[in-house]
Amino acid sequence: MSKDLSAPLLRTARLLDLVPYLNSNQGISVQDLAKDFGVSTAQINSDLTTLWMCGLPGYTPLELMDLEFESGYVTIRNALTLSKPRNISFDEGLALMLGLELLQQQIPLERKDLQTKIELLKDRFANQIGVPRAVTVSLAINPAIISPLIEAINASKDVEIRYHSLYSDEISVRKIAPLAIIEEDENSYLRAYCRNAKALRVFRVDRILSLSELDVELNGADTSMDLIDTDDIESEKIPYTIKIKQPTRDLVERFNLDHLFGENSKSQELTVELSSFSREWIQRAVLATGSDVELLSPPELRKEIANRAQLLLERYA
Amino acid sequence: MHTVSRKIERLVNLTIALLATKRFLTKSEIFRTVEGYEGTPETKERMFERDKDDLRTLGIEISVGSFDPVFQDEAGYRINSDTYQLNLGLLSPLDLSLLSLAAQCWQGAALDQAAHRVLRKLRSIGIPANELDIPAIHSKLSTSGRDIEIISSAISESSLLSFDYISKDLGSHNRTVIPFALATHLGFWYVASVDQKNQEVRIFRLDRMIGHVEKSSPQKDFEAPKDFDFYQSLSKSQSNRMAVFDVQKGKGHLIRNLAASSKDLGEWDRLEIPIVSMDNLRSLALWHGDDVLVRAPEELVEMIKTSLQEILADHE
Repeated sequence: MSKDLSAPLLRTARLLDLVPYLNSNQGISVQDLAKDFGVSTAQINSDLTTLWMCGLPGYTPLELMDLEFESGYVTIRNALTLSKPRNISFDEGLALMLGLELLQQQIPLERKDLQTKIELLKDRFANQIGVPRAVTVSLAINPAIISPLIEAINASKDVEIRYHSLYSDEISVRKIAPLAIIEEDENSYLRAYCRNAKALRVFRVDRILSLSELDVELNGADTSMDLIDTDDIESEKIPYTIKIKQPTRDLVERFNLDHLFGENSKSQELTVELSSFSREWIQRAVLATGSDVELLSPPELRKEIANRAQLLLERYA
Repeated sequence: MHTVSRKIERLVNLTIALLATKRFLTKSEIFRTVEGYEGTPETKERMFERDKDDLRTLGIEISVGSFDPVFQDEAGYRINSDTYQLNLGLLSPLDLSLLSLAAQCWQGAALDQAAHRVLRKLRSIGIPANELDIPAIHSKLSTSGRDIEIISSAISESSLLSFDYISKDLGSHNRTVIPFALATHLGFWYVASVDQKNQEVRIFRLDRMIGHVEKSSPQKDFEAPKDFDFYQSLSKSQSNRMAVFDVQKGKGHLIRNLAASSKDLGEWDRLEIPIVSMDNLRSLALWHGDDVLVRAPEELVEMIKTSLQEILADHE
């Protein structure tokens, strides 16, 4: 169930779920109700009007549900047999079970109280809803990094990080004022003011190798959020063109070409215009394909790639 | 619109009636008492059959039985409140807070919708959640997990799964497997399974499956491999054959993560890397440019030289 339900069935499900929700949240505003159920207020009003006509056989005022929602706040009396929430479906149980596991990985082992609680809850789902215990999640990012990082953001504290910059393949130590964590394309990024570079920088959270707290309160002036300008970063993108000689899965994934190869992908030569934030990345990426890709432009990068290949050949000679 | 509303009203009324009854209700009782069944007997009959299917689609179990053994042909219907209602036993405010946090992990990710529904159900229980005294957490699940639902249910039933999988050359091959574990790692979802063609353990990345994932019959006598460690399989490459890479000090951190051993050569380190795929190692070496020099095996060195000659010819 879920996404495949037809509109009337979705609405039926919502009506059935509205009753216990109202029963436990008496006096909730129509606006809040609409927000909580992810629909418009007009839709909620129409749902409530329909519910109003529902009840036990007999359908006298005594057997109908008693809803009041005229003043913009909703109360329910006589919720009848629907007063308890419906049972959890498989996908809902799965969402909870995996979420619990994720939580468990982030809570320090010293918190035995919470660890035990979560373990018990997981057992309940495994038994009652038939969600297999073999479904596991592991975090892409190290809890030992992320927890202190969030604490530092909340407390406006500086931290020192050891960071692996992939493109230049260097590890640097930087003092930063962490500002916010952003999620984009499967990855978590940290926006921070870098004290070393005296500028705003974006770091991939999974490339932060270690982190230590500095006991410095940062002065907010030069790190205010409005200094961050994503458009500015965008405009630095470097356009480049590659010729793909032999499409492979590695290429599609490395250069993000999903949209070019649908389900009927054929082996064919193809020229693609792309862009990247980093010259270094473009050169390394083209070299790493072996010779499956030729860089057509920009010409100065073409030359640089030829130089690197020449130099490496001499080393292997 | 009007008739749609009537139908929804009827479905809700039917649910209330079947939940409220202590005994099985016969069809004629339902037609007589539940609001909304109108028309010829055939029309009512058809309406009721569809309504039953609709409620089942919503996950509402209708039990069929007979309340009077003398009239066995007259079937009766009811909904058991034990199966209809949420029944997680006694939940404390702390439990509830933990479950709410668990559901919030899915923000924008694969099971977001389901997580939202279950959050609403949790808020319908009427137990206030605790303010949690737990460390700052950042819970966010990968968004790429398509078909997690169907794969998980296949795991719970040991069912066969079949799907088309993108191979290295971008071709697609049909695979039939019995899945036994699911995991996320570095932003991707993976399923571990026993391939039915050769009965070997195979791991697949969910975003490399194309088209529909089909679930079929449960395999009763299936036993999942016991000594399987998902995390180890995803994070450590295992092989007895080693390649030898010389890597500059302070460089090549991706390679260092893969190394089985490391020897200090002064300005360079000599690393042993388990060989899983020659192509990947060639790619890795070329990515690192002159910070890396591959020493062995000879086959890999030759592959790298050939690639470099071709790259040079292409870009000169």
